[in-house]
Amino acid sequence: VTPARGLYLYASVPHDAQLGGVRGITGEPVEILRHARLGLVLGEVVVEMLTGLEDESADPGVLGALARCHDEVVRAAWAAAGAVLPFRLGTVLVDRDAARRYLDDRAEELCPAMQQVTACREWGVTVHDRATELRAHADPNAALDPGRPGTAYLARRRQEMARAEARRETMSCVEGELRARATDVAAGRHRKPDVVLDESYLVRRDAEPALFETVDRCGDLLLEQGLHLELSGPWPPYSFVPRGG
Amino acid sequence: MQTRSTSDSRYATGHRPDSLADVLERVLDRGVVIAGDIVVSVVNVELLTLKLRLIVASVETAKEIGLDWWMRDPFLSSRAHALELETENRQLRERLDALETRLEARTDQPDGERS
Repeated sequence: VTPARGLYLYASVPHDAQLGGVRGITGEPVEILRHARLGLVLGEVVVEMLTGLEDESADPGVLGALARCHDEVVRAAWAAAGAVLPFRLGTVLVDRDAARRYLDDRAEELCPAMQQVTACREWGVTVHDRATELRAHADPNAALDPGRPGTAYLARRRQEMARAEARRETMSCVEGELRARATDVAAGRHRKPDVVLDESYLVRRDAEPALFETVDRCGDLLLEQGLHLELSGPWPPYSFVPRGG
Repeated sequence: MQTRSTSDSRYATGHRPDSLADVLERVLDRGVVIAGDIVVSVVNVELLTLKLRLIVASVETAKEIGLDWWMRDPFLSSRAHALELETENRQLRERLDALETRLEARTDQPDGERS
């Protein structure tokens, strides 16, 4: 019995892209299937190798390694082709005919999307709230007047509200400045409650120096208010692909 | 195109090996999705995304308590496991073949003892 095989997709690339010597998630050679003005970076895999990843009993390390490998191949294709539209992890087509049919159906939306991400890289910015830690150190005046706890409380409340207002202002200013550097913006998932900003920016390579300058300036500003900015990247444009199957 | 360089920003996290949570978020939650009968549904993305949340939480917890060893090179071990299964599979098939051959040899002899 031969195990079921399928075509694992990594990314779409421009039609003329070349790729050599890259190995995929199961160690298979990665190739480019060309059709309808586009190329699909793919590898033939044994479907069984991918099943059960979502099971509770599955080793999370396997998923982690798979994710890294998927990302590595996407990056290799990106480096070789200059532009990519990555597929989501676990996308497997039944055969080459299906791949060609997919490109016939979708070239019209994939091509302009490819155009948009060309010469750009994705950068992620998150801002965490570290204000609570900071406040613990910087608020000795809460005990200024032990004889008048009500007044002290109100003063503290006023101070907190003023601080929150100042942070809101800074945040909206930062958001505006970062967005001004980007060709496109995608919202992230705010995966933790202390995250006050989680966005991805598609930035032209020639605009990157300006982005870094903005990030540094905004990062300093935010830090004064107990907010911690982190820049991740460069990423292939995972967040800037056409939506909808 | 150089895709691995980190940025010149002082706030860059760079491309540290422990940014697995970021990688997972991008490859599982973003990227082109294909629907319809041309895809083999091997991975339940919704369940996987759910699992991702647990992993992201546990990656952070694991890092905090220093239990992140499995993040380092688990794929090698999982591949080794697959190879082990393949070898076992082949050995079993060989044994099965041998048994079948012996069985056939027996049925070819009408005077052989059979229950």
